[in-house]
Amino acid sequence: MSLPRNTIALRLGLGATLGALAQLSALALLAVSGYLISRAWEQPPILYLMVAITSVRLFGIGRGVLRYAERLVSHDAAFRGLERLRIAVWRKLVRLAPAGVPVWRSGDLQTRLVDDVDGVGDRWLRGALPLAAAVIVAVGAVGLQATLLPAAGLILAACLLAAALTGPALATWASRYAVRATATARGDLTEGVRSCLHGREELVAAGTDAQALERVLEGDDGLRRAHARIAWSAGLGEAAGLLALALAVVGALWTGIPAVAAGTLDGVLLAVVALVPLAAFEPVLALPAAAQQTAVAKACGRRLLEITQAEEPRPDPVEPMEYEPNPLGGPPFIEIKRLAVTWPGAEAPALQGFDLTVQPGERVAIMGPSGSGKSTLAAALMGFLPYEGSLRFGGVELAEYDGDDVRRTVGLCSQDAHVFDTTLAENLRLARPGAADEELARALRWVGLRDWLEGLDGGLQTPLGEHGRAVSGGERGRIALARCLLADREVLVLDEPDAHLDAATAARVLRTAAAALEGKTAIIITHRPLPDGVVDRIVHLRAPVPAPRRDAPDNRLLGVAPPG
Amino acid sequence: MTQLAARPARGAFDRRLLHRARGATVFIGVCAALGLARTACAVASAWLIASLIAGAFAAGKGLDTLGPQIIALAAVLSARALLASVQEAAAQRASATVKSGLRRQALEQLMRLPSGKRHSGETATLLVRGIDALDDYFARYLPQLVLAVVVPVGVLAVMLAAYPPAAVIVLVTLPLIPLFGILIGLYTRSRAERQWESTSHLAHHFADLVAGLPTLKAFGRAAKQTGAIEVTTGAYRRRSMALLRVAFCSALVLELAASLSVAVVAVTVGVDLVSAHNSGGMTGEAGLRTALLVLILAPEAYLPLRNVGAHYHASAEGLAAAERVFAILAETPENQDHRETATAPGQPSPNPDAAALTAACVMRTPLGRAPTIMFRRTVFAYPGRPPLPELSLTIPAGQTTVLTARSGAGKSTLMAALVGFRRPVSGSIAFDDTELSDLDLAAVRRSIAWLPQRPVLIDGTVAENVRLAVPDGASDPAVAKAIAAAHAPAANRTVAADGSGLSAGEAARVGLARLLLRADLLDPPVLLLDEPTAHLDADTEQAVLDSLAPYRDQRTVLIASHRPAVRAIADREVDW
Repeated sequence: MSLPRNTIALRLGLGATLGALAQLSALALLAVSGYLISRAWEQPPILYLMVAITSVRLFGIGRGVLRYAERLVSHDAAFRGLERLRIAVWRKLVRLAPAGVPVWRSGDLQTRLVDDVDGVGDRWLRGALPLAAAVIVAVGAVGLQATLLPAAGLILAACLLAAALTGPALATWASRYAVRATATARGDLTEGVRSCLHGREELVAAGTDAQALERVLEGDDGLRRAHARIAWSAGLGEAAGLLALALAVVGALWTGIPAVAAGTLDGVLLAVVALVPLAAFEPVLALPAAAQQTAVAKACGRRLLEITQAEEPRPDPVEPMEYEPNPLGGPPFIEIKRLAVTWPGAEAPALQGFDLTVQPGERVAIMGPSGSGKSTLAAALMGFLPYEGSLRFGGVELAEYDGDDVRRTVGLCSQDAHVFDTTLAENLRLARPGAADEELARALRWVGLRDWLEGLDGGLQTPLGEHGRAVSGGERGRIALARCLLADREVLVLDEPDAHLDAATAARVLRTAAAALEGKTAIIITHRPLPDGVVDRIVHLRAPVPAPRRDAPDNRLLGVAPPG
Repeated sequence: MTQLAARPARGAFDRRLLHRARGATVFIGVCAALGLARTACAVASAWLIASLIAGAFAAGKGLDTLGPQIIALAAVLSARALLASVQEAAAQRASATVKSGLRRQALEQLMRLPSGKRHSGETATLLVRGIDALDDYFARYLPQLVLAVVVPVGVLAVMLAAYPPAAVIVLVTLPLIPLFGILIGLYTRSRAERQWESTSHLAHHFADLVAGLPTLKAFGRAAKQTGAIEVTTGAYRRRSMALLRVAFCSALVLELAASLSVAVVAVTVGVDLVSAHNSGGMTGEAGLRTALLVLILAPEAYLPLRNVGAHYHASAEGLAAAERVFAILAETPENQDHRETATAPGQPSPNPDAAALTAACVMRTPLGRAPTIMFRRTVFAYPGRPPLPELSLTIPAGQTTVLTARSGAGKSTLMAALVGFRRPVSGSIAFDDTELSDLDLAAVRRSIAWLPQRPVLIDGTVAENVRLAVPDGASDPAVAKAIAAAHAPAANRTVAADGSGLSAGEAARVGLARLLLRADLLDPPVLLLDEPTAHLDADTEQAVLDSLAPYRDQRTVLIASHRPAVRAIADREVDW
């Protein structure tokens, strides 16, 4: 892990060096040109000028070539760094999901992952590298100036320092709070636009599309005002830099002219002393922009930190038990006693004092009103949530096992399981990679989608579109169920498998599913009575006292429901 | 940074962008004026620096004689700083206005275009993040473009007057820069466009994976996905770098032309000075002053072009986004007559006479009382899927009909068709013997209250959401009554546009409150409810249905549901 990180740092360092060399070439080009002209005016034999003429040409070429090399090297490094960052964020999200992920908006989450990661890349390319180049050039210029004329060197150093400090400081100060303002306004606006577009038909039918649109555009107005606030600050930063430049040039002449008269400075070098500030300031004048980039990138970095430093809801045990809940094979014996489960950040437990024993191969229905903690129980069984009390598989507490091991045995078909924006086959193969097409078709038959599948033009290769948009709610639920059956887990938790189905379809699907699950343990969560013969027994669940409305976040987290 | 290499598909100067943005033309005028002033400052300061050096070195003058010139130099340079600051602020303001206007136009247009054709999340990102990227174009690129025209002309004029050979050198090299820029741009253009597409594809892919992360984790596939992400982003980087290697060449040409010609000017002037006594050209204080003036001015001629180059790449992302926004703006909103929504491709286009027919019928107010709704041999189809079975169905006036057809049989489609968002590929829909296609769609919509399966939510309170039921606003007591009747959450609870803050059941009841409010205020004769109780437990379901009872009276009510409690209130059940 440390070796590749170093190569990226090395690449970035090389980029910074090349960038500084390019800028130093520009400085040298102007300085030597000034000397060349002054010396030529004295009309020495032309041979005396050959060194100056050659180096002027060399610096002229060097600048362009070095800059090209710098760009390639630094962009390559930035891309590599971003790649790693993106994967690190993903890895962390994997450990957090679903319970540890704060309830954030889907649009915002998208913005975070894509924008924020890119923003951090900008921090290197447009923040750190220009700063490094500016510092190196400034040191070089001050060194040269001080050698020629110490007083001018001092003035140049002071002016460069002032420009480097005030310019970016002004820019950062003003943009910092404006950036914060736009981030919220942008998130709100994105979400508003999305929901407005998503619900367009309803709004148009109600005749309130214009109203909803105006509300969204209010957000746009907020964004516009926030942007206007950044405007004057960016101008201030640039002006501060140019004023410092003016001071440096005037100062160089103010000290240089008397020095020539006094003989402490060779007149030939006066042009050099006057022109060095012009070139030295070029990278420094770019610093306010770099500082603003850095400020934006810092906000991005902070938001990414919120993700990467979030606490894991159910950390895996340091030394997990070897996972063998049923040494004979088949489903484990499940024993739940006084189970209490609290969602991260919630004050009251969503499920409390729950007892249940499930024999291997038993099918149990858990019934209860909304908010009684049914989905919470499912999340706890999946090893997504920490719990109090006792929840044992084959006599061992679930908390002693690695979460991934638990999920190799327990499958969950949640209310709003995600249908990925890919083909039907890919969506199903998620459950069992490498499954043959016949197996996929069989799983679809089990959930009563045979006719539907046969009607699809593309068959198993049919793309399911954004959030499975091309499929109806009932089809989506059944695809999710088919996926769970295909996964062939020893224990299957079905969270309202019949939510979007009519009674006849629901009964048929549940019966076939029950048949397909022969020999496996099934826990079916529902608030509607199930058809006969699907389950062996029914357990009723009551809301914990006092009853907190926990159904909202639970549903979202388990399914990350496509909003709208 | 991902679009650094993208080049705008259109020319550098997108007329549509300026045409769309009313403030933009004035802004360009301001930029040109400021540019002229900045050129004057540049020339004046160059002349002052040159004459100060020449005065001290060649003529041996001291501070006492040169003092006023130094003060003038300070004044000129300060003015230059001020001008830059003013320009930046003006640019940012103009940009904010233009973006806001563009966003409004695009949104208004999108509300007129049929849903379902585009990805709402992606479009939202385009309208916010994509359009925001135009900042670089307006605030940086455009002013530099104006400067790139004004400054070189001014500088060249001065150089031509002072020392023609240097002016010739600049004049020859300057056009090389845009020339190479265009050539390389043409070469990379299609690749750059593909790159933008793959960037938004990558973004969507990530969002999809993150949204489905709980599902992936449940199947133990989340960790394995890491490898897939590594491969995708790695391939993305290699493609980007291949593109950048070529695209950065235009910058290379630019930098080389700029710095090499400064070098050539310096050498030419130097050689001329050395041989001045032979040619009788540049000697004395004036000679040195001219030489230095030319040297200081030469880089100034290239500077705006160099900045244009730098901002050109940065503005490409915004321009690519603008291109897509223009594509949206160019689409014809097809509901000019009342024919909304996609037919399957290859289906016969609507009867051209329909528009004429419509005009004659527009004035009729339809559905004056609870109408009978008839579907005659209606067939609906979605692209890429077999058409739904033919359907003939009569929904009797003033009664409650519950559709219990199996999932996927087209219940939602039927309702959407009644409000004019789906059009049958064959057969007809009629209200009281009048074809829907002969009725004024806006009037039909006014006579219907429709609760879709997933009601739309906006940022705001529950009350504000319920108010979206009627176009003309509703009084607080009316809203409170509807909320109470629907058992919706408290009026002042806040809701986010994505529904966080409400459970699925609560969101459904907000939708129901909307329906009831509409029924109260507009008295529509037709109510359409699509799975109104899907997410409710039995007690709440019963309470909600009880509240609905008085509203069903004297109205044609159509409910899609399988729930026994809903079927219990039906006057008639329909299955197919």
